[in-house]
Amino acid sequence: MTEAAGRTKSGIIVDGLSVAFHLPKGDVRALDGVSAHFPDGEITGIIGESGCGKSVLGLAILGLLPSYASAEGTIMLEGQPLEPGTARRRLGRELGLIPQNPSESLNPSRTVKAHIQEALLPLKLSGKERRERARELLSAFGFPDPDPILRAYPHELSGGMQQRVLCAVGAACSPRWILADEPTKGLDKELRAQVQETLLSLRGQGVRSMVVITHDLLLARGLCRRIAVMYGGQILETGPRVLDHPLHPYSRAFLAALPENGFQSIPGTAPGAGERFSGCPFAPRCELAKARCRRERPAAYRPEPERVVRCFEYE
Amino acid sequence: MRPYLIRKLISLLPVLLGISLLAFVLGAMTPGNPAELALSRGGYEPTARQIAEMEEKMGLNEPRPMQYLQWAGRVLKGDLGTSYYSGNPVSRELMRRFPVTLKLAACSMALTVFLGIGLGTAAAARQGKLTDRIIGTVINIQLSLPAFWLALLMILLFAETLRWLPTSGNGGLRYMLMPSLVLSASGSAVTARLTRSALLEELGKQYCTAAMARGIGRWRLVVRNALPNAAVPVTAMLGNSLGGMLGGSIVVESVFALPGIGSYALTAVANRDYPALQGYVLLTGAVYVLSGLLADIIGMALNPRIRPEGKKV
Repeated sequence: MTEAAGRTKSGIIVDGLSVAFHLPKGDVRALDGVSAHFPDGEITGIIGESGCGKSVLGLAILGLLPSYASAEGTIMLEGQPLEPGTARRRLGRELGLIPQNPSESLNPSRTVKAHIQEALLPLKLSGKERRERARELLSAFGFPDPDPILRAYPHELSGGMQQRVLCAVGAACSPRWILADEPTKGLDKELRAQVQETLLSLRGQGVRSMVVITHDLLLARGLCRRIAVMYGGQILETGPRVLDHPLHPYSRAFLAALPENGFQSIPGTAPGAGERFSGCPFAPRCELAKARCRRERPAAYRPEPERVVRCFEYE
Repeated sequence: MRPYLIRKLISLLPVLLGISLLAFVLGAMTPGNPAELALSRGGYEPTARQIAEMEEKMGLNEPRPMQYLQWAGRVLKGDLGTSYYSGNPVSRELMRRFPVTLKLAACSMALTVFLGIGLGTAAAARQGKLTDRIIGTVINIQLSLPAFWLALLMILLFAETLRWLPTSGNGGLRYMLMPSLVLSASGSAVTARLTRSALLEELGKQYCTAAMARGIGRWRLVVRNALPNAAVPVTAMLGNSLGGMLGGSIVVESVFALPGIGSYALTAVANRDYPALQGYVLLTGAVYVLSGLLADIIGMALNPRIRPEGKKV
């Protein structure tokens, strides 16, 4: 593939990734030949509407797809393939997750301490070191008095506190990579600002690079240098200035549909889960679409440095 | 937790009242005259006068509600009447035999918990693999074997052929092994099945995906993360299954000749010993209700969301 050329490239490289869910009513294809490069040392945002496949991409990178899913293609982390057999040992240590829905992502019958200590297991610390590190982590994420928090159960914490606990858990082993899945989903405005700060403070814990899956463009703008736009199980555009200067017709329409940009809704309806396209997935709704767009899948074009757009406009 | 517990205790009162009413009706529906039955032990034929005196003494001429109240008052004082068959106080006979049944039930419950939760956990941890399928087959076999047949089969194998275990009777734990295995067979199968499905439901939840992202192994995920949550419905079911065990103990105690309250009830049925049956119904009913309460308390201890120290931080 064009983007994932060299094996020596650092960062996360996704190459030709397709994911299908085998459901009783038939197979549903959630990802359709996704290729992307998430460079080391950067925060990359994956944006898109609900159902575009962005969370599935996150789960696939972590190797945590449910058992009824099958995946094709390769995912490389720092030059080594992430395969189901070996990925587990790298989770937590090299690649941490900050899951979506904080209240559902913490185990209701275990204390915060149990969560953090479990996350610290790969480091093989002594009991005392583990307790120290747990306190240290909580203070780093805005709990000046960590001891009552360590003893608390998830339901005793507010949503914002749960989110910060999950950040501490994800950062426990100081992984170089963090994947944050919808970190602001369901949070109010003030908390969203707080989450952005918390995510940035991950950098103080040894985290160098992040993939942030979100539909919150404010967060994406505030946090990410690079953006990948997903639609219908594919990445249509990636690059550094996508939010200010979108090139793909879908990116333009998506941004124009935001309340602050005039609320112009995109004609037509978003593709249903697993809908398949022989051409560009956006073609049925695209004002610029030609016959060819419905027939052929656009390759990855590079109209600008670091920018990849899958649209025949840039051929 | 305390208000919850008090509410629970209050809600148990009507249940206990209902059990006592049922037990009383059982005695009141006795075909034949209880006074005559009480006197005619051992082939003796009482005269009409003796019967009339006895009726007066037993309060049988009072209206039924009054009889119930008098009877309930005696029951509260621990007087369950006199056995028609042996002539001994029913409470004393039950108390002598109850420890045997309690030991049998405790052993069976222990086996149900260990086998049921153990097999269910193993099956869930190895979902879809060979282990899971073998356990599924074992569960089906356990469920489809009638207790008395399984008991006879085990006696034939372990006692008669291999001579590892005593055939019957009461004694140390060796005597309890076969009876409690038989008694727990279907219960442990049901428990295993419920444990497996409860675990699989928990494993599909978001917090388990998040736990997997910590790089932990499958067993740690299943046992440390999912099991404490899956244990809540399993405990509730185990509490209810104790009632089934008390019922099942009737068969098991008679096959293995254990002098517990199950075989006592069976003898009572055979001899139309209504006071003895009344006592049995009252005792097992109370035990059933209390075991449900115990399961509730354990369930609460497992669920921090309703634990007493649930304060906001």
